[in-house]
Amino acid sequence: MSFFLEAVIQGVFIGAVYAVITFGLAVLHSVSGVLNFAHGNFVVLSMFLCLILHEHLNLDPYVAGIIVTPVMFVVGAALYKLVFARLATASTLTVIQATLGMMFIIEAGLLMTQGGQFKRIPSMVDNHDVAFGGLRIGMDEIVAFLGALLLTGILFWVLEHSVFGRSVRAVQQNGRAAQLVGVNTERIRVLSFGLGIALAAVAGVLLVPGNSIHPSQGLNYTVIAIMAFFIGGMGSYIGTLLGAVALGLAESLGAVYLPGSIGFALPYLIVVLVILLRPNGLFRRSAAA
Amino acid sequence: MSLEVSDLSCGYEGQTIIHNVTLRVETGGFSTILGSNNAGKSTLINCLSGVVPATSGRIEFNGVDITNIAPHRRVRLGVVQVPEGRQLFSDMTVVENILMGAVPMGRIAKVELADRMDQVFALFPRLKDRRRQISGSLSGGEQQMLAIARGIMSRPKLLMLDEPSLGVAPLIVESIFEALAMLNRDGVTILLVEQNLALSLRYAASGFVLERGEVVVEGTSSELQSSSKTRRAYLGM
Repeated sequence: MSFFLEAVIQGVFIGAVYAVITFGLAVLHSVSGVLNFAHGNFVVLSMFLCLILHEHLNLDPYVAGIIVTPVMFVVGAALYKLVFARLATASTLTVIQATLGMMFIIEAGLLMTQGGQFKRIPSMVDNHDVAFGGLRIGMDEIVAFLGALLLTGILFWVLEHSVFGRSVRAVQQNGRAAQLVGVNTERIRVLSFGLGIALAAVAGVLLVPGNSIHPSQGLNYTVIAIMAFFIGGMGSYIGTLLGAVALGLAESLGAVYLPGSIGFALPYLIVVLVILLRPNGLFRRSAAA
Repeated sequence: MSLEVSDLSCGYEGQTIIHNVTLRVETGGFSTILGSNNAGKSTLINCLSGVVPATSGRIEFNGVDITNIAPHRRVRLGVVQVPEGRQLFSDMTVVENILMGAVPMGRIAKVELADRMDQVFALFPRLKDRRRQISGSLSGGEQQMLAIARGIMSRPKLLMLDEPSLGVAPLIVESIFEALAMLNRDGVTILLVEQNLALSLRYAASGFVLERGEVVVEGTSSELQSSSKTRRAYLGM
């Protein structure tokens, strides 16, 4: 029983972090239609920025995150300005190729400069397990979960109630109309790219303690985010959250209860099932009337 | 003080749709752009809004050259378009749509925002009853009211409307046009694009007839009403 509970808790916890990664992917997609195949690489890039800050300044990953996150915000904003704004009229395939290109650039760049070994960054939460009934949960996981929860709350509030959030939704629903009511749509896109990449960065920071990092982990996170995005219905943030948590659960329960590699395949099986049964995702927002 | 368009040409990639259009709308006026389908009416006001780039010529609003400035900056100067087909944010509620119209004003006090919202609801009381409803679920007429409500939140100086009667029940059309007349009496300059000739000439004081992207006739409404050229351009005969 405690085995099961532990797997559930771990699944929900990691799912919450996956949700933050996926929100970033979703924000980018919502304002520009770009499906960012390099998204997970930005998660990994921010992890390695934490590593560099640890090696040179001996910073704890959480402290490094305070520097890494705004830096990645600027990276995201610049990326829009330098790459995607210029591809606004390009075909979807061209845009996808651009994101694939970024994926290779980041991965190869990290391999060249950081090497191909797995690395660990020590953190203040290492070896601080919390006993909870009969369960032991790592402090790193608790911090990651609470951080992800807090970010999710803030993001939902911003999207629902702030002028910026409403503008993001307006650009998503009808870019031309947003322009006509006076939204500076280019500014919204720049800020959204900054926000989306910054969310990937925070997720990366939250994952650093307790995990080994490697330059080629990016695609892994990208695939998880894209799967959660699909399950969630590509546009519903609540759907995205539930999709990500479902994947986290499938991952941890699969690893515990299914033999060997079938366990690892469980999240993918779920996605295939969802695509077959509900091709629009589980939480598709109603289409325009 | 007015909207002055001189020698304006514009269109889409490689295809000029508006050819050397010159027109003038006086401040406080109520003008209409008439013409059959494909005459270029929508392209013209989209160019005035900045979502279709001008290839040559000049657009001046109250003495400011706005030919090449971004759409959102034109809105801030008071040039607002209520687009064809309403173009609402269909997943948002009525109130959220109206609030989007307040974006160009930047940060304003809650009291002022509520005040403007009240004015908009006074003009379109039906929207007040439906304020929490998702805009995609409104009737055609209500959607048109909402599109206008959204457009006037920032208190435009010039309100351009593209086919506001399209897909709206006749009775509702009358009330929408009455609302436009009311706005006009309050000092908002109105530039109306309409297919419905009789309706627009009844409300507008003057107008222009567009044919294949060129102004072929202009004058007061009664002049246009009696001009054989109008009917010819309109009916394509």
